[in-house]
Amino acid sequence: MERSEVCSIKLSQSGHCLSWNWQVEPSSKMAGSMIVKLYRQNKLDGTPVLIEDDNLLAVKLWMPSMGHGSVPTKTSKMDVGTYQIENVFFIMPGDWEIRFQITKDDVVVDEVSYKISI
Amino acid sequence: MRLAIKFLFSILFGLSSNVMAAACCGGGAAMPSLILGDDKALVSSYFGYSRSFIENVDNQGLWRQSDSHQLVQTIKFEGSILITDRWQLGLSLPFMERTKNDMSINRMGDVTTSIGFEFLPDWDYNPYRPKGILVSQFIIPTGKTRFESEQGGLDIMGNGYYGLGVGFVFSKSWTMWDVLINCNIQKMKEKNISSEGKVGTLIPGDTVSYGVGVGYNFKQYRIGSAIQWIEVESTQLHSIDSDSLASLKERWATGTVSFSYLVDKDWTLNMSYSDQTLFGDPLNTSLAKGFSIQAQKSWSR
Repeated sequence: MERSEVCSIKLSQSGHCLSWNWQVEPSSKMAGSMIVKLYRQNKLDGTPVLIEDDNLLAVKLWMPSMGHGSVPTKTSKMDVGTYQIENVFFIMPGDWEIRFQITKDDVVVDEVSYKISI
Repeated sequence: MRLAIKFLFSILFGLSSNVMAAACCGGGAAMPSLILGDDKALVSSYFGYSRSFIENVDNQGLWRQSDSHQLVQTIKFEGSILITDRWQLGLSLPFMERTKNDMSINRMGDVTTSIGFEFLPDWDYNPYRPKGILVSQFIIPTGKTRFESEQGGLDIMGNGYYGLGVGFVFSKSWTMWDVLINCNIQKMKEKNISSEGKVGTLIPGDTVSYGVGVGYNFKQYRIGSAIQWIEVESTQLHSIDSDSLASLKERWATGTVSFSYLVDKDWTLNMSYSDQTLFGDPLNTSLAKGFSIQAQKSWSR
């Protein structure tokens, strides 16, 4: 199962980082779900610390070559800095981007893309 | 001779209705419906069914299949009428339904109006000179662009832009045979969007479509085949803070075989099978196969 290392995906605007792993890997006929953990840097030594404040995380799926996304995902906060993303479904095989977005008042304030091949 | 001319319109309708879009999600070229024969007006109703077989051909030309396929059903009403001996108007109204797994969405597709001028008339049935028609079409979007889709392209039934196209059709028949060549270029108008957290202006690439068809006519029947190639240039997204590619260049070809039956002097029935997996060098697209049936009523001059 694909997954990322702790804090391996960096968000450039906020300085935060995240990691993710499949909870249920999606198939061609069924949506899956993932767990995303959002970190900030510890002020003392820069080690990753799960974020306590109320950032809103959104996950969008995007197929860059064909210019379309997929069905909307659903985000639920499970614990400090820990999010469950459900309804993750890639409508066709190919090269996709998982776009992790930090939003505030419905505005995307930071975003990072993770490339994945289905 | 008259039979071949009668069926030539069927060829173009076959090309029109079977210029299948990229199987996944809208797009393609709206070919106009034209009077090529001796009629003064034509109307037709069309039903098409297609299923994606190759879900994705990527930017390197790698084909990827899936065990889940998208189905597309299309109902289309088209008509053309002569307004003078050499000028004609046309209209195309499509309705589509896309289905994948348990999700099904139906909407109206983009409306196309067209105007044609017979710049190379065939007054005397010259054995060598083809009939030539210049055509221009105006495309009226009825839905969103693919970039604004909220269902991975399933809710997209057309291009989503206003567009203008120009092109030509040459047709010729000799005894039992007929041939048709067409070419069309479409430019779409840019569109401001606010979707998926992106605000900006979509600048769509041009669409070029060209094709050739040939048919054999005997008694009340015609057997035909055609190939139509389509290329769509990449779409740009201009935002306040950046410029980016919204989609890459796309390319596919549709091969069609058809069978037509002249019921009487006013009615024609057409059946066709189309396949996007056989020809061309596809890129950044899905590929489908499908069939269609069409009933056509004409009025003579």
